Amino acid sequence: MRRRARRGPAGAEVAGWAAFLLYVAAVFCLRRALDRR
Amino acid sequence: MCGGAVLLDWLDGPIARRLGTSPAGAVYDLEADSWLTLSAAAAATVWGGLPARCLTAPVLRYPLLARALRHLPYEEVFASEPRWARWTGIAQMLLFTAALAPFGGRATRGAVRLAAPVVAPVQAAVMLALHHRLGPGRARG
Repeated sequence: MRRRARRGPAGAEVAGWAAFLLYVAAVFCLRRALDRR
Repeated sequence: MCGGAVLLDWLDGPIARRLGTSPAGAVYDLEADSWLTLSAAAAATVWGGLPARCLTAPVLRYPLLARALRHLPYEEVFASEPRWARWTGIAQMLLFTAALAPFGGRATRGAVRLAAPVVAPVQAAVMLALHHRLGPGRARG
């Protein structure tokens, strides 16, 4: 239980950065799509 | 808010190219980008714990621009900016984003602590180098 509690914040940090990278990738794709049309 | 501003910053160019560009639009685009960088730097310094020296490059931009405008028109100040200069700007924005990340933990804070003393002076040096390229000698020539 204690180990789980210690892993929690690191997991949230990784998930946060993963979400941020996905957001950047989505905006990048949208930008390319707008430029292609 | 920072994420939304970055989204608009990235999309304003393609949208403008589709709908039609104007000289005023180009000025607003660059100035809004700089205002975003300065606001993010101030927020990252106040709320993200970044050292105040990280404000140097975003603040330095304005006196350097004012100085360059004494001998060059606005559009020429940024016309010859090399591609690599964009990457140091992106690194700087990434530093501000990391400092402000609501999900930032020990690893993020550690990375910010390591990156800040490198990214901030490099960006300031890049701005000074770019300004030097636009010197009055070049404008006269």
